[in-house]
Amino acid sequence: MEKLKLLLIALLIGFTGTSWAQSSVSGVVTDEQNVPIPGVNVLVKGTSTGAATDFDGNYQINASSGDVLIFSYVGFQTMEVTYSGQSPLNVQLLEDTAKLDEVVVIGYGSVKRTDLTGAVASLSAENITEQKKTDIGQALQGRVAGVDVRSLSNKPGAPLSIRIRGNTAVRNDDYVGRDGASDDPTVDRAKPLYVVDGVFFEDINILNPADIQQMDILKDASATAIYGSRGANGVVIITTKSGVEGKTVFTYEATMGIRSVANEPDYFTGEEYLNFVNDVIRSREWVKGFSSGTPTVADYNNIDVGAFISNEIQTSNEEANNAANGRFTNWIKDYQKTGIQTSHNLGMSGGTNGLVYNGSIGYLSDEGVIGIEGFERYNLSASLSKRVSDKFTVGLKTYLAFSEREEGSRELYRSTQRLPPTVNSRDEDGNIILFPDDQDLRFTNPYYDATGAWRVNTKSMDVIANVFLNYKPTDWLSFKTQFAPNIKNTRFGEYRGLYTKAARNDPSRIQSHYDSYFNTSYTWDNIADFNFDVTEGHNLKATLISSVYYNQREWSNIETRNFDTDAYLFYNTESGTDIRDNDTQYVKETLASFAARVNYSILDKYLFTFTGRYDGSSKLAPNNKWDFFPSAAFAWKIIDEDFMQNADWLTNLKLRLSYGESGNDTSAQAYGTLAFLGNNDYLFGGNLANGVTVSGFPNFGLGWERSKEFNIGLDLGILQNKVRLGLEIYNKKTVGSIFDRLLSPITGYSDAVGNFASVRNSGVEITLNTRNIQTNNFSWTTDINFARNKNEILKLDGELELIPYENHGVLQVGQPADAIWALEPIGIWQLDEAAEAAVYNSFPGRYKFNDIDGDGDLDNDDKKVLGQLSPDWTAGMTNTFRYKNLDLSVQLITRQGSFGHSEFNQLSVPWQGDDAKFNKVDADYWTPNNPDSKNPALEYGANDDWYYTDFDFVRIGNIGLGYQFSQAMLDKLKMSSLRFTLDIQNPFTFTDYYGSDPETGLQNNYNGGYLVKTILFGLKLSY
Amino acid sequence: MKKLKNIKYTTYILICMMLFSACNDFIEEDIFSGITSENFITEDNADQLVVGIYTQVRTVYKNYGYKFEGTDIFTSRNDVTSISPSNDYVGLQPSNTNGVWSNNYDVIAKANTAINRYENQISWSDGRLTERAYGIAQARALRGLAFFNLVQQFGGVVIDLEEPVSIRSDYTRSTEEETYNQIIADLEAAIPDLEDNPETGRFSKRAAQHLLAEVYLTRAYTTFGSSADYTTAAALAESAIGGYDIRSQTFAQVFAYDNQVNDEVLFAAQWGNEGDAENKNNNKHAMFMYQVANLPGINRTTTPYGFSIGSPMPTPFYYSLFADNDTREDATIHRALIADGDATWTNLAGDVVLDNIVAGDTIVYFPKVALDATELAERLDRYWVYQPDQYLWGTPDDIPGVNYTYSRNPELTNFPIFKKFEDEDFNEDEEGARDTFIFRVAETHLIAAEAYLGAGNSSSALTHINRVRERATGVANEYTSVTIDDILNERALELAGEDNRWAVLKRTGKLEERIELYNPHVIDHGAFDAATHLLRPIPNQELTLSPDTMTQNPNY
Repeated sequence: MEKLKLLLIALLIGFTGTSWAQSSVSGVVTDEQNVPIPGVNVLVKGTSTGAATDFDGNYQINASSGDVLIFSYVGFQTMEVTYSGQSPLNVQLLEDTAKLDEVVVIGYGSVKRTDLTGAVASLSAENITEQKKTDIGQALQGRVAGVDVRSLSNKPGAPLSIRIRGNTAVRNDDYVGRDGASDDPTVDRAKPLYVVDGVFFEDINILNPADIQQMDILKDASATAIYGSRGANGVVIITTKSGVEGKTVFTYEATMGIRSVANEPDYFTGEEYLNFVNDVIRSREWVKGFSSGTPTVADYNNIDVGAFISNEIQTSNEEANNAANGRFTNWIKDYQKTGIQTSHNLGMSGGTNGLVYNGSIGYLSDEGVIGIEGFERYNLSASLSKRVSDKFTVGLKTYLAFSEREEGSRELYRSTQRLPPTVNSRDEDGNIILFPDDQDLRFTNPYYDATGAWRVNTKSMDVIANVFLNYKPTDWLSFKTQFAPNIKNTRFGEYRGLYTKAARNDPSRIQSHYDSYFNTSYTWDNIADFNFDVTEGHNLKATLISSVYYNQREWSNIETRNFDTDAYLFYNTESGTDIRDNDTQYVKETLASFAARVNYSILDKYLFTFTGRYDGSSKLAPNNKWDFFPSAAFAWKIIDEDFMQNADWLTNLKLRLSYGESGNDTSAQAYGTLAFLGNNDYLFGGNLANGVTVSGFPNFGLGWERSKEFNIGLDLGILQNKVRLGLEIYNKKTVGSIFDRLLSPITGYSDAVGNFASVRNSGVEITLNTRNIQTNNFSWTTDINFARNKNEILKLDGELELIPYENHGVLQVGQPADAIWALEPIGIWQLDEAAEAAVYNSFPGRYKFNDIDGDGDLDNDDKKVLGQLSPDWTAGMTNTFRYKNLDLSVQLITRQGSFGHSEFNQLSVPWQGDDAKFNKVDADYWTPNNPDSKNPALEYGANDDWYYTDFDFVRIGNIGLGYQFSQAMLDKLKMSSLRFTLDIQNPFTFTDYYGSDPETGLQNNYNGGYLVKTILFGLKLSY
Repeated sequence: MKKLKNIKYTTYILICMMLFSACNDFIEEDIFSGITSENFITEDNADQLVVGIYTQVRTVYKNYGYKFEGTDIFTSRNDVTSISPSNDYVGLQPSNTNGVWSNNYDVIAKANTAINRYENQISWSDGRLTERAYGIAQARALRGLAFFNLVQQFGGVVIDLEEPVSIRSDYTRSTEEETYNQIIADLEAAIPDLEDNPETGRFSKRAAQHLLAEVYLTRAYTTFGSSADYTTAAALAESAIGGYDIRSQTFAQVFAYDNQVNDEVLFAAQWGNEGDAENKNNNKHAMFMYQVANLPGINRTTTPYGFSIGSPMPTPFYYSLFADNDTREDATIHRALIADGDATWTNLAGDVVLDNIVAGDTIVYFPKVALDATELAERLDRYWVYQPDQYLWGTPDDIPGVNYTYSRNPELTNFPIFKKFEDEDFNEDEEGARDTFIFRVAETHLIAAEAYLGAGNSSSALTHINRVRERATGVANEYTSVTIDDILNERALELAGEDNRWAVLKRTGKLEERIELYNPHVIDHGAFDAATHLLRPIPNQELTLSPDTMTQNPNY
């Protein structure tokens, strides 16, 4: 009773006391531009007394002197102000620089961005999904400095090539000679390591962008060294979504749109084609005049085209008639179509009492713009974790992806472009003509390819599971064990039916392929984390890791030919009586690793990171299996130094220095150190005899390729982070670079794999984010990234200076590893130079090549490096405008300086020298009447190899418009968010390249397809 | 307290790591899809290494570079004014790689490996030493063959006799004489251990004698050769002929498709329908023809003639060599091309049918003797006719009023195509199953004739050349005197497309003279220079890979 009394009295005194001291405080809350902010919450700390600012930013609240007022508003940093009688109490809120506080995943752990010592870029879930791209690679394109993303084909579901800081591979497998680069990104030796939820991963295309929580890109070796032998090409860490404790949130996203051909190459129209045919004949006949002198312009004009026309415009079918009457077929247009793209994603997440869950299902359907191409993907994910006690947390995550990709015909795209406009697709009765151009029985009517006569179909199923147990015995120590199996099953089927170009109406050439791949892998990590203050101001974090990785792939290939019907597709290979392939294969790779990382910080200003990984790989020679990859990094938060306190204009200043070593494991193939025997059987008078030859040059000393990288990084924030600048300068030297070295044929082997060269990648990356305008209703921000990389071979084994290979490849000290080595055209031979041209067996109208050694002939001594496949620089810029609930963003990307052989040009430029069999792009060409053309003459002007071109482009990658419903509306709808979007992907491309897409121009792109423009309507809601 | 805890947890971690003490087992390689060379080869299967060399030999004889073009009997089927360096020697440049070079070195490298394994790695039981000797003998004989192919084209080459196990950038060429010594050493060592009648397709003692005869004969002409080389060559040729009488089969029978294994053949690259697809991949049938499948009535898929590769065509001189009584002409070339399917030949506008072609109809005819104008016009109503002087590139002037005007022939070069390599099992220009004869006794006779001629023994020379002639014409002792040109002409008739014509002309010193007489492109604009072109350029790749030691042949 006494106690109760005392309490009551105390409370009364307390109340009177406070009421006595209280006064009304008022003021205006503004942002950094002094624009009033309405709706700011104002709270007296420790009480429930609160208020909100009105439309003009004014507030009024009762407070006592000494109270702390808390001002908070979404998008701004929460601010605490102690009231000491100020009147008015005006407050300026700072924009929330969440970027600086975000958590960055660095492999086997995470740190706050402010504590980062290496070069790491991050993309949030919002960044990844905002453009509604169908896969992660595309979502990453043009967004991160130093990450060069390039489509390898324009067909739906096409893989992408991702390169981080250039090409470390001296001779990359993705480079396939004359035909450009491979469409298969898995053979790219410069590809980064992908880690999805701690699991080493091959194909990130199967992931649904909507399921991604965060993507972190480790660029410098101090960051990647934690991945040791696999880190040298950079690491892309992908974290999928997990649940967050709280009420259950449902989200639904859908897109629906139309895909159509963008940037169609400009082929000759019917009339132009006839003119071209005449010029082909003139050119071909005119050049013959050089055998008996120098023909003149008049000779050219006087050539009787009619005498030769029947070789080009046929008279045995309707062609001549069509030409005479101006009846033309527009093959290109006839086979273009619009495709539909739709996607649906439904997610659910939440949690209570330490149990959190997240689940999602996703569906994507993407149709091509020609033929039967299409891509479908289904994703299913579920994650569950439970904090069992203060010390134990267990969890399980599963991710399932199923996709089906139909590439359709590999010939359709090219056929529709090359068929001359003068030939017919159907006869008078409307029947399809099998061979529209009976001058060339290699071309079947594309009608059949477009309707499924040729199918290239891939089905893939991926299952990733991940179970973990966390044990945190005390606040400074925790253990984690994580086991993550990954199963991938792929079926590749291809059928080339009777009426395809492959079979050309000959049943013996009908092909059926059925390949299946079954991969099983697992990663098992054991991680111990320490985190404690050694003494006041000195914090130590350490991570110890032991990890094993097992990857076993097996596959079978079946190919048979000669079918008497097209009915089976690739589902009855046995019916093909001509067996070409029936093989099975097994490959196993394993990696055992121990790694450690120590982060040591002093006064939270001087940060040190030491990392090391000790890797043992099954792929290397017995004595070289184990290797150690160390790194060290230092970061200095200069902004926190006392001497910086007066520099008010500076919000952030941090300097990072690092050095690290890491390896590249894709460059060493399993079993590369062993000498295998190849079967080489023979017939002795019809009797089969087994024969063997040693099929490859064995390398008993194969060791890791090792990259040693210095990185200097600077993070700068100016004027309350209105301008933020990130700068990285790096120098990465790769030694013992593994590649297939050309061998002297005297050895009987063509090449050998080994550690044969050193190469350097050096460059600079700049990231600039500016807030240009920020008012109450309107904002404009700009994000710019720029990267420049220079690649240079430093040394070749055997002190060689130069090793040419294939048609135009060269390894030359001082030049890029992916250099193009060829004769250099310095113009076109002109009429008055006929005598000079004759020295080189050349004629006016042909390329005039630089005779570097001046010896009067053109050979290897006259070849030089003309450029390289990798771009000199890449950049991206996104401008985002917000007005009230509307937002608009425009993304611009560019790749500059990529140079190489163009398959497209070889097939489609008019001077290509294939008579007038095919239609060509409308490009300028030399004639005696048009001597200023930069391109050579028709027919005889072609040079075997010279179809090199620049692949520079500037592209508006995306224009996105969004409307976000206001809170008031949402409350009425009982939703927590609702947003409509309209995106136009790839609306404009600016390039001098003749083909449809300079980005895929390096590929063997007769099969690549058109650049596609997508107009996509989207809806996203949650409640 | 904290320290104690530290120690405790560190111990836990160490224990965790101990779990992986089995790491080294974990990172062993498992192999199921291949066999490594370390343990597989034993005396029981060592022969597989030798079989592997034969497989490489196939590739050598599927390469037609430096053999035919630029000779008196083969030229390019392109416009006579057009430049083709390998035929007219205009601007002949070293290429980056060269098939003749690398294919022969493939044989040498595989032979080196087999010899090394036979001699140093495989442990042989006493009862199987004959097998050991036989394996090594085959490998050395095939290596000798490859070196001989190289030395004729390139002069002295790199003699590397070790199994390649390390990468070198210091390959150095030996002299031509040293290379010949190596070839002779290989063949002389091989002959005693080779079999007289081995399994079909293996290198026999007589094949080695034939080859060695040719090696001595070729050396005899060189500065370091001697007249004794002629005598040795002749004796070896006699041994190689043995008791075989080539008259026991007609020339046509030797090339009959169902008679590919016959006693006249001393060595052949074996092809056929069994086993690997690679066993059925000859393309010899596609040589010395033009794209006849472009003609009406000759279907690309059903044509018995195949599909042409490469540009060599016989020269007019070659066709002129056949005497009227020479039965080889009919077995070697087609004077008529016959339709294999039905087709319609219409007028230019396509509205009037000029000829209904049915299978079996003649499409092109090449009379041995020029037809008169009347007969020509009559026949041109039914098919094209090309007179003996119209074989080279170009369209003859149209004869007015006939159905088959020259200007409407889609092919610009028409000539009697080769028949003797014709295959029955092929796909376009590939997948042929016919064996490629490398040495046969008729050639041995001509080597003998040449060797006796060189040794000054004309009567023996006549015996041998007449034996070959007699089988072709039925006339005994047709030659009463013999010159080197007679032998070259007879070789052309007997062996065109089989022997290495360029090497034969080079050896006899007749290359320059005969191409300037008989090769139309060379006559038009040839740039043959004996100081340069009697040796082929070493591929550039060798010079870049052994930059300090490898040397190019003069003037390249």
